Amino acid sequence: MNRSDKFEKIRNIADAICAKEVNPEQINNLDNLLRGDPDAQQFYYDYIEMHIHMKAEVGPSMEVVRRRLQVDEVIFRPSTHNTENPQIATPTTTLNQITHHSASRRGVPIKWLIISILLTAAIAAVFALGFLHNEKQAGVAELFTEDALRIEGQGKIESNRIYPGIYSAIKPVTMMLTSGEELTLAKNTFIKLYNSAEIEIIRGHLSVKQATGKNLIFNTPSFTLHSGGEEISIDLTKQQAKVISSGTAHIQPKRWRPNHYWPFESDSDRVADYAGNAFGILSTGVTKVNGLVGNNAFLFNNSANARINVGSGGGTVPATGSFSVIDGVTIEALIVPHFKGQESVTVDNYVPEQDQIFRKDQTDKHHRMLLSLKNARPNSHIWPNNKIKGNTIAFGMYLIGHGYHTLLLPLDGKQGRPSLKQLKDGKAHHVVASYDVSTGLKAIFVDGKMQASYQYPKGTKMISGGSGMANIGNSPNRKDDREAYAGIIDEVAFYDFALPPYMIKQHYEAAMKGKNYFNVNLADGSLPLNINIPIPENEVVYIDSQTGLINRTEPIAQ
Amino acid sequence: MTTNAITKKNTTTPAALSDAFIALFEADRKRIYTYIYAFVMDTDEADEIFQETSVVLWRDFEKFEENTNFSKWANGIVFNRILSYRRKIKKHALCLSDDVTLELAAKVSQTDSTDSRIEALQICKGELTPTLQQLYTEFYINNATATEVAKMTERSVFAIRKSVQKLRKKLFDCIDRKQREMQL
Repeated sequence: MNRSDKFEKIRNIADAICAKEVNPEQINNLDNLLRGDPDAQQFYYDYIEMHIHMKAEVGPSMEVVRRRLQVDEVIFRPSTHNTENPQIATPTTTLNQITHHSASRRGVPIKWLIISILLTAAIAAVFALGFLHNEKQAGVAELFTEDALRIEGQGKIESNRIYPGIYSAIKPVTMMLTSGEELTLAKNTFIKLYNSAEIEIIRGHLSVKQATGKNLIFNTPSFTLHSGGEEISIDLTKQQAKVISSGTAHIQPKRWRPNHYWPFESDSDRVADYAGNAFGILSTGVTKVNGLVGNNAFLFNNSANARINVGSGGGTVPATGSFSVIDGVTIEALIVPHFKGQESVTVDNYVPEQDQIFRKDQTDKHHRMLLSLKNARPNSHIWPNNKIKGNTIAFGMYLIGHGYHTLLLPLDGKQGRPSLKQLKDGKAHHVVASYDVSTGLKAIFVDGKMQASYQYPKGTKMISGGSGMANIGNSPNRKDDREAYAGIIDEVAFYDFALPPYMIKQHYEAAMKGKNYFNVNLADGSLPLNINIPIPENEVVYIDSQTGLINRTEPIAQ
Repeated sequence: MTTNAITKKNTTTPAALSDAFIALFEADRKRIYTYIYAFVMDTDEADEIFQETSVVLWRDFEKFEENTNFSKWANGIVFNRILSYRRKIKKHALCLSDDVTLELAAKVSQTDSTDSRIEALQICKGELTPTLQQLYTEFYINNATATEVAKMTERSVFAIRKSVQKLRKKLFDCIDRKQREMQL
């Protein structure tokens, strides 16, 4: 007998609780039914637990946010010791608190609202005071080209001295910063001068010559560049920013973090996500082995239990949750595959071998997204070439207007493609699947090289996310071993944008040197908020406008 | 109960401490809410206790010992909040007696099947008939009331409530079945 039938009376009361219609008499009955009966208590709890987990949202409308405030407060007060020198106290406070935003009847405590407003006002006042203070100084640069700059915002030009403010170049302009560097702006360049060391480029082309060794900071809409004290050229006139550096410059991109990153370095009983909150649950077919990068990786034994379940990412319906993406997607992993590429054909069924590296599912399966090793046979989902047979790397996802499509990379060793034998040489291989909505390019990379691609119309959107589970090493919709992975997987990352080819190569090269993709210290269990990416010296460096990551480079002569 | 024993990691800095807390709390959010709801049986009260409890959990998080089970640690605090709430609302009529409350808390503290049951729930959702899937979406995802669903489907409110009960029973039986299969 089912438990739901055995405890029918409890179920009826639990249903009334779920429907918010329970009455005192029913509670008394429940009390009697639960008293001294552990099985009944377990049933009641399991039933309520299921009801809560079925709901897309539970609890008060509340999010947990870490708000870190760095506050400079300026206080003017009469000094009891020296009345001629009013004391200016500038204590610095670092507040670290969890703030709960609630829409419940208790609401947000008013005092926090007031404190927030006061703190914001204090910060604004400090900035304003700083700005005014700078104005009193000798300016930030000396103008060499007369009548070439127009003041667009707060700013001042006096006796060819330029003060902090917003300016546009009405013709090519040369100026010397107070620290000695020569700054040239092309016509129509729009900048915000903060001081002699920090400049925001809103559009146009800027270059620095006669570098003095002092680091200059250039903010752009998609990245921040540190000159490293060397000569630099930044061109924002085209869709992709173009940077040329003569030395040790680096950029901090605005968007580089994956949504999820499982480097498998945690010692906890969960598989820690170093970038998001998709902590994985290990099944019994997975064992810890020496890392391909770092200390640990996981060996998957090709069984039904060879899987790490990393959850749904909080998705409820398609296009929700952290596996739902808008601008594109990248799935990245290091693998040592044991995939055999076997075909097993039964009388009435053809069963190709498929080893899932990563698969996010939907209950209707159409919105699934996967990266796998697959023995392929012609199939209407395969696109563009649905005649491909044999062992492949497969990248499947759902595109609006096209439906579910799988791009295949044949592992045939032809035309520079790797063979399955090469992929199974026992060494770590870097596999990446990416799709960029803005360009419509879908691609598979192996060991830093793009080996398969298909161009969809630019702007073709995709649908992912939703309530289905995501698994590393298996299909979440299968309880058998038909899509179970055999071999080692390490360093799995999931991004909500397409990693540019240059960065994929960088990640591959870092991994081959035994470093994580980002070459950062993971000791504190999470990725940092910012990373520094060195700009290759004396090359034309093209920067992706969406992310601020390096897209490609070429020799200056071109 | 989940076996959530993610360590506090390097929590020597305030940022690392709050990061660790957010990760653990968010992962355990629904379980904590279930725990409260099972005892108070009322959404508004559960919301209020949940809100208060989350603040207390953060306040006391420095006392949480690394490499121990967050869920178990949180349960202790949550249960104390429930008891104190019951004491505060003396006229509170809709609640279990003290001894059954203690028995239930003891039973729940031994429960270790939440993760596998949630996983099974996801699979079972995929096995629902289209009609029940639609009902699930409206009722649990879109948060529609029985009255609203009744209007949409031109059925009576009573019929919708019965269907929702049937939906829960079907899913519950399916989860139990999947659990048994996994134990084989």
